[in-house]
Amino acid sequence: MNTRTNAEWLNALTGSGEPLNLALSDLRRYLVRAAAYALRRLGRGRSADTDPLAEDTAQDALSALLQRLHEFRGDSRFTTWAYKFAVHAALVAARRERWSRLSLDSVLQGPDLTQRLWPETAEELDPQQRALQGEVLATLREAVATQLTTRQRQALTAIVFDEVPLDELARHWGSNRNALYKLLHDARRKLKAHLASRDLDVQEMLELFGRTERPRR
Amino acid sequence: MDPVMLKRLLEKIAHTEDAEISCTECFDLLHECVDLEVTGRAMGQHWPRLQQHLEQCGVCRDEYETLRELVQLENDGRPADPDPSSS
Repeated sequence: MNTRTNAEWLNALTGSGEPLNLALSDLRRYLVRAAAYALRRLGRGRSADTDPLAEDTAQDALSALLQRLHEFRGDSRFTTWAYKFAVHAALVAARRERWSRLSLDSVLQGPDLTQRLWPETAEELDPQQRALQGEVLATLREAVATQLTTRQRQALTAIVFDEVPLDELARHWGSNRNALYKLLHDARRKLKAHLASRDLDVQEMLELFGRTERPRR
Repeated sequence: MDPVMLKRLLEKIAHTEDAEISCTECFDLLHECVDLEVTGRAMGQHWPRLQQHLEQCGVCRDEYETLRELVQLENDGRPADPDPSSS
């Protein structure tokens, strides 16, 4: 494939004739490579053959990218900007394929969030620590029961406890990623405010229950 | 109750900000931040808000990490093959 500067990419893709065709052909190969990488990273296939889903999602990505070509401001390499369309399309499609085999209705009918917030018997805890954990969980259950809508409880349960991908839950509910993120953000804000009103510091709560690994640096 | 999940919920609550960017805004920033990170440059004004969103949103985080790996491999002149058995 030809390597191009950002300006060369843009000139070719906004041009016509052979330079446009060549640029489109090269761009498509870049996108297939990116989509294939994203899919293999998920554990889909180990052979050198291209996953058919990579071809399909790369085509979707190409269409989306060309519609938004005017938005590229040169704040990265063009290929990085292009890759993100392919990665996004591939991961969305892979999740959809995976979760279409599962019943989200049955997942959502599982135990409510308040039913999940009960302490485990931890033999290594001393009675005071166990009592403190019990109090904290009771307050958290109260917050969940009194501050959140039914939808918010379902969404938090599904995403945090059942690890349903946000976009899949949004699709199941006929919503979209942004709207569901906003619903969850509102839920988190209400829980944080309620805990603060009970003089509970969430950082101290984390210390009480121990920390998980932070997902990012 | 799964203690790992409880801790995950508590961390999400603890790291909640009054104003957070949306998934669309995150997508719009991905390429710029990935290129800055991979080339070791200062992350810029958008990074704190992007990072906060990535901590809260698993699907966006997957996209960011995948894109970053892909661009890093390209930068290093290595083929884009995440198969662990090939490394």
